[in-house]
Amino acid sequence: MPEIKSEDDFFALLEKHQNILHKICRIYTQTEEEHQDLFQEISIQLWQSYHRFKGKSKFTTWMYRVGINTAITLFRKQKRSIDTLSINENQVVRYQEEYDDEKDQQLEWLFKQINDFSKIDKALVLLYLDNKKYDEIAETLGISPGNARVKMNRIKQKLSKMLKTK
Amino acid sequence: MKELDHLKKAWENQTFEKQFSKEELYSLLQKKSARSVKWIFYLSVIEFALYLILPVFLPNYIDSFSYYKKLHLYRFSILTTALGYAVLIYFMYRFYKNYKKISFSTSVSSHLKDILNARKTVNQYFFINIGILIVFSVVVLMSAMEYDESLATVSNNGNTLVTLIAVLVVIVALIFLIFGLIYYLVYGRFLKALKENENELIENYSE
Repeated sequence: MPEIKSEDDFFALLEKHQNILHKICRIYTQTEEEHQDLFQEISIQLWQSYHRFKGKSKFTTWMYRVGINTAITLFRKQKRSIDTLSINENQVVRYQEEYDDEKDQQLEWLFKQINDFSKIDKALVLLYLDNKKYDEIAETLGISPGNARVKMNRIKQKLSKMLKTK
Repeated sequence: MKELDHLKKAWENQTFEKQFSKEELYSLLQKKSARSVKWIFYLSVIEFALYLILPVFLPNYIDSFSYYKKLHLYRFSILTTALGYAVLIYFMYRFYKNYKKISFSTSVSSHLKDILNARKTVNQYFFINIGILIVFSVVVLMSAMEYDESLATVSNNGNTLVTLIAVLVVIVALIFLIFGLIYYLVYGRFLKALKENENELIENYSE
């Protein structure tokens, strides 16, 4: 049976760029536990489709694409039952306590604001904050560069409007 | 716009306490499959326990053997029942071996090979079980037509015989459907995570 190609390369790249996954998880989840679950789910999806990655796009662009797709389509937050509600709420609080200085407070504010955003809008916020160019955004989300520009401007306006009324 | 830049700066400077090493990332991938395979093993143990207590909850279970006796199928029914238990014990052992293997595999490629094997084992288990069940049902129904007086009179009539065969086909299809559905629901959810890996592998080998 032949070896799966370059698994070492894969794990080296994943280790190096893991913050991309952490950022996606932070945007899409609210507790540490969900963060870990989504991180694991994306890693699995990345590994499973790695052999199809031909290097036409950057490894990191591909990571964004698979990560966002996983967060949007596959990942479902755990249903909260009455029993687990109090535990989860504690986790939310603990998760947010990590942000203590001014910059972190700003992030905390951001996460609260985007909590109600649609999954696509969350992806746009992530790509905007990560300073991605329109063609990379287009490639990541599978839309045209023109469409990416329109969507990006809309999300920028939405964010700055929120910041003004903060 | 200044606020947006501040926000971007804060975003850029955020840190993540938990940083995974290569080895930890590998074990992340491993854990999930190990969990699925572990549950497949547990389910087979539960299924075995259910088979063992089945006669207690089904009062007619023992009586059914005297009916098989009437159909001259006593030995056959004992043999198929024993075969059913033997198959289950054999697969319990295979599931356990798969679980152990997957928990301790040393590289991702060998890990995926183990996943492929684990999935194959469950499929074999499913088809062998369904096979035994269908053969058993068909043999019992055929004998019943010959030896069970209430059915034997019917089978002498040509038209009714066609209907009876049609009923037989429907029953076999129903067995396949019902048990297929049960196995799909019980084992299928644990196979889902493994299934995609298998497809990826097959695709990879054919390249």
